[in-house]
Amino acid sequence: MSMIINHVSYVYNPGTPMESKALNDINLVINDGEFVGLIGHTGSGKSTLVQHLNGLLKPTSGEIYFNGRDISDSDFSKKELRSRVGLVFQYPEHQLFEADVFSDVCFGPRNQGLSQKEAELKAFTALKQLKIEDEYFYQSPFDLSGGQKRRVAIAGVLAMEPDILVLDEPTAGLDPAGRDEILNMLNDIRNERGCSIVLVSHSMEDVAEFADRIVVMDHGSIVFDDEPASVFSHSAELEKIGLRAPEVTRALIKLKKEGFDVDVSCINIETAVETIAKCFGI
Amino acid sequence: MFRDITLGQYYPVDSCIHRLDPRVKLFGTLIFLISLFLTDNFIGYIPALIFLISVIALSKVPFKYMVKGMRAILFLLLLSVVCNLFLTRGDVVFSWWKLKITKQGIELAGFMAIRLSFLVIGSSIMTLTTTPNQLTDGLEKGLGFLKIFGVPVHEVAMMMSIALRFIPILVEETDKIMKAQMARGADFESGNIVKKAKSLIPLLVPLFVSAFRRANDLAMAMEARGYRGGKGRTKLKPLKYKGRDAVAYIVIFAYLSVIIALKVIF
Repeated sequence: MSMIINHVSYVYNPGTPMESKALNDINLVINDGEFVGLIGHTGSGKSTLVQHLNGLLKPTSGEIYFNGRDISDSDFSKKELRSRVGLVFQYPEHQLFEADVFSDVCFGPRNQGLSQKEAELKAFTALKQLKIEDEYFYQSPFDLSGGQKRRVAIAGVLAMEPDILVLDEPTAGLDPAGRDEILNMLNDIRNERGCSIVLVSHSMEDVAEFADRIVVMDHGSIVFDDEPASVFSHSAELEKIGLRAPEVTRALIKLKKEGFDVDVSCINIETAVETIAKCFGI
Repeated sequence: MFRDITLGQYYPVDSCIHRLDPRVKLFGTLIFLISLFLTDNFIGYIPALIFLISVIALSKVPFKYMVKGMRAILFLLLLSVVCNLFLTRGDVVFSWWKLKITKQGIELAGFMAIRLSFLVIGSSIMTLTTTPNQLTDGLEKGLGFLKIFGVPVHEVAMMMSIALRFIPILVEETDKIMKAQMARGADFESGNIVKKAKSLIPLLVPLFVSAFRRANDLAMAMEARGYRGGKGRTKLKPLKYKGRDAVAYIVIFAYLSVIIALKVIF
């Protein structure tokens, strides 16, 4: 279930004075069951890129292949593509519209042409996976808290059982606890369902822990595409394009500069504590 | 798909018409419109044409932008020409079956076509050279005297400028929600009219919710900054008449007197 993006470029408002190039020769592969972190500064083109993945935008040049088929082929149904590649927009809670949580989550599966029963089953599974308690199922989605709304909206896309789940800044505007909650759930979803996850963010901390690979974008181009530890080792270059390696990595790099023998490839606090302790012989 | 809508038609160049006080432009447009209705013969349109052409030339706005406005009334224009052409009684110059074209009909049709085109071009010059905000400012100041009669001029003007400000925001929001629902498999295009109307619910409900949320936030933000209506409120850019505005008023009145003089003479 891989996705291949081949030399994709995209121009907004071509041929008008407002013409602007959003994507510039993007090449990217998203493998089966992979957790990819897509990082970039505001305006780097990451949101434009993810809208290409499910055919909402059509590349100005280049092709996108899903399972070996070109998604702009006329016989490739956009509806099918959109149910295989689930896209969760930024602030997805703004798309809720039904009178109760459960019917809202059923909207996606119902659009896939499933029967009411099948749709309800999928909605139920998705809501459970995002840890929404039963008592909220028949409440109005507008009465929930911010974090709950966000999870309900993600469940609305997850219920379609996509092979690739793409999330555009799913943690924006959440408190640290809500953020960790969502990130952990996404990792669980990946492990349980075996689907790929593409997580768009501007914060390295968001993706450091779970991502298998980090793709860094700047001005519509891909700058780095590598494992987290090796991307973070370019801390100076990252800062130049308005990004930051996680606190942990930056602390370790500073220690190394001061002559301490620490392993700078550690990306979470636990392993960092270990390597520092080891270096002090504790 | 909604991105292409441009609001108002303001054409940003720097010209002496652009720099005029919006009140002058509002007043000038009003006088121009009145003059078109005062005139009832072709000779009266000569000063109108001269006035129009010189303002267009001064405004530095490409002529094709003015004609763009004509497209919207093309149907109305054709309808009025056809009706006048065939339904006016008088000396028949051409007849076929039951349709008759009269000399008076041709004259009237041409007359109406000119009047309608001048009307549209005249008012587009104002919207092309004045930002919506300047327009509401001009209206507020220009109609300020109505306050004596208890008309809430400031409040209405404020509502207008907020409404104008919100249009691009809501257009963007619509685009976003539409895409989000399409990502969930929503289909806004196919099906009969009932199905199509039904498919708009997932778009309209979130749109209304967000409009109310934004309105609420805005009201709160305005109150937090001490907004309490028009009384005693000062402006960042107060409208002040300058020398060029006086000149413009003189030109407008001169134009009006020419029109009236022609009306009296012919």
